[in-house]
Amino acid sequence: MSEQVEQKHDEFRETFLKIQEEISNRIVGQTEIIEGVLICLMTGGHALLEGVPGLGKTLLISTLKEVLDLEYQRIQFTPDLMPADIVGTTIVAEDENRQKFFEFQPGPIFANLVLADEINRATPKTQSALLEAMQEKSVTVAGQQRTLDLPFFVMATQNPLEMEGTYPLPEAQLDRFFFKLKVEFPSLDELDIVMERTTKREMPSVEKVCDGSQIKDLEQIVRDILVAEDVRRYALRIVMGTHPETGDAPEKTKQYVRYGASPRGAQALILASKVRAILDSRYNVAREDIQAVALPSLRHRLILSFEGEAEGIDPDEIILHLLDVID
Amino acid sequence: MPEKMILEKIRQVRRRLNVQSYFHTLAKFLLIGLLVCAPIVIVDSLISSFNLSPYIFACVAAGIAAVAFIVCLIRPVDLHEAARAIDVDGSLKDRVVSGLEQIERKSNETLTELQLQDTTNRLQTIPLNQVAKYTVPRETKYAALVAIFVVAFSFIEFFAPPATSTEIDYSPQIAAEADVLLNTLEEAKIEAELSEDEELKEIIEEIEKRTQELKKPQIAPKEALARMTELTNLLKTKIDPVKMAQQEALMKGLGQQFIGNPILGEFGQKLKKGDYDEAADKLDKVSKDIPKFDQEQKQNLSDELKRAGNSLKDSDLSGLGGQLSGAGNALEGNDSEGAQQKLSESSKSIRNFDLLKNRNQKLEDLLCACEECKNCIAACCGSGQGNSLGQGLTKLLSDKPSNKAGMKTSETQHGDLTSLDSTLNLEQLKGVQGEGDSSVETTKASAEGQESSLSYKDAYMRYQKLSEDAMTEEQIPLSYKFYVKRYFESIRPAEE
Repeated sequence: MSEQVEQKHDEFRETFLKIQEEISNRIVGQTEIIEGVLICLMTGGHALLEGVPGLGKTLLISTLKEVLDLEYQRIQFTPDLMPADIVGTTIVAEDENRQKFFEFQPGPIFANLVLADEINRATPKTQSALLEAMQEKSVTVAGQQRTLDLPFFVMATQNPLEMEGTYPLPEAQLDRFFFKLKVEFPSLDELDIVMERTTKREMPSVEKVCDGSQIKDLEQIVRDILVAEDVRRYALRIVMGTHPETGDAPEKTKQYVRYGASPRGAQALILASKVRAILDSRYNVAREDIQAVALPSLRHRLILSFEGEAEGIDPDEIILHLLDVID
Repeated sequence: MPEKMILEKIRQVRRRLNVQSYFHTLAKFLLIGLLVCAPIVIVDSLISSFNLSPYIFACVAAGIAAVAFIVCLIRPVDLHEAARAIDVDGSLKDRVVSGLEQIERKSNETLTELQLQDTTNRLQTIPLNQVAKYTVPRETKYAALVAIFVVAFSFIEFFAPPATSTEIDYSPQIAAEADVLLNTLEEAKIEAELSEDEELKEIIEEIEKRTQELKKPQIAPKEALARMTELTNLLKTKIDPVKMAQQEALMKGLGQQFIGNPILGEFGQKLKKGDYDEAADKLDKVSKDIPKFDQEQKQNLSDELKRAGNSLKDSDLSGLGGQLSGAGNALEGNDSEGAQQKLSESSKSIRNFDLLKNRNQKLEDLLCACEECKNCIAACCGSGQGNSLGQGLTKLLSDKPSNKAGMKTSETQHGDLTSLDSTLNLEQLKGVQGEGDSSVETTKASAEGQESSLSYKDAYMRYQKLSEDAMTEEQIPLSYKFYVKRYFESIRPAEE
């Protein structure tokens, strides 16, 4: 029995590393982003990528589609995009006997991998249609609930620079994302490799590593990892430390944060740490794992106060300060 | 059995951690105790009146450390802390903490077994003596430094206090000075007995009695000086040199009046010389010779005596003057016996004056002796002290005035400033509007381009709270929220 579990863990590590390796064949650098996206995938979460255009966000998810052999859809969010354009709609159709009936025409959300490009350009109504699907893993059209195929993974992107004519995601909807990953501009060497790879006639090829059902199995392995009470309490102290109303919150939190991370933030911390524990050949979560995933798990869940926003405080600063002060 | 092995290792580490904790607690609280004592030791060194024993400080520091040590014994390190210490020191990434929790839960799941096995494998590679090393507590060196400081300060007394007057016994010197004064008083007493001056004798006995009190053992210089001051004050009340000088001057003037007289000439000469006893004898002789005088001589004597009596009228010697006038009047009325009686009274008055003069002289001598004794006591007792009890130098007026012009000019050479005893009363007079015509003129003009009295920063600060509340509490559409924020940002003062 224990050998089987060990084997499963080995399989998880191998699959994870293989996917990472295959993606790296096409995406240069961005190791942390790839790892973050894969952690989201392995835990059933969704990722929000923030970065300027042209850094390979779309390429990342399309590569993921090839590696995992999953159905992929891309939705370009625009202000005139309607909820029906995402979830689908019912249309009038005719059968062989020329009898008319309503037929459901599924939208692009009915896929395993969905890229919601520039999510902040659509209206809140349209955004909420996607976010409902992300949370419930189902959509309701014409009063009928339709379950989405698993695994279901949404990778949303937003551009931090162009704010004109955008509808920034409300805090409650940001909370639905498991990770918020910041895509940094590549270094000179990385950019050099990108140029070399992308200016040839052919793109580097990638191999299929696993399919959707394997991904669902791997997700179950993650949830079995042990978390000691001491470590769990540590994670919760970090989450509580983001709440200015709690007595133990550091002065920085009290000054710059209006509202702290939700329980979803704590869940993300623990689940992501479990993935890292498996990758490190452990059966238990360590504080180091919590610290490593604290930034992508919590940065989008902190609501800064007016003073925080006015002074240009980055939520990352507050989280790093918390990691320093909380033992 | 991995569980047993893990627990055994954790317990071993806990034992080491407990020992380490005892030493650290002792060192830490010994340092705290010494730091608590340090200011008290410094104050004790500076203020000598405390004079606390160094053992008190040692006991306080040791007591604080002992209490902390007992608390540490009561609350030893628990297994979880030991497990955490192993994880941290051995970089085991919370394997031991998780393992301990699984052991306590007694879970038989496969993953638990794997986790415990993994923990055991890792623990075997770590030497426990490196996990919880016995080290000298960091506080030890600081405690040692503070202890040296405290010991040094508790034995050193800065600003040593001056020796108090009670510490040195000056009574032998005072007694010696008192003996000198007593010898002088003894001589004065004999003289008083010889001159049969009872009043002087009484005064001398009083002084003697008071001087004897200076000879009591352990008398303080201050007390001795106070007694001497009382004594000198007593003597000063008995002496009136001014009055005596005035009376003596009158006597001499009286003598001068009689010098040219053939009957009273010798008497006048003796008076002028100040030889009052002999002058009284001469007057007695004149008194005896009155019956022998003829009428002209009697008339001459009568005139002379009345004139002298009148000159002494309304003076300090009016009694003597009255007696002389009475003798003159008696002679004028040819009452020789009456004149003789009055002259005898006069001679008696002159003898009394002589006695008074001698007593005054004796008292002045005694006053000098007392002052000398007082100065000697002050000098001998004050020489060994920081604060001299002796008298300072007295600024004496020169008895040899210079012939040269002075070096300074009086600050009030034009006289003192006039002091007016008056106060200035300011009164405000209010006008009363009369019943005459009045006109009102209103001028309309455009406002001048002046700067606002309120700074922009102050105005912004006044409304900052309102803007923040608007952002956090008002229902602003999300799509507009960014613009509202940007607006407030744009109006924020540059230096903010």
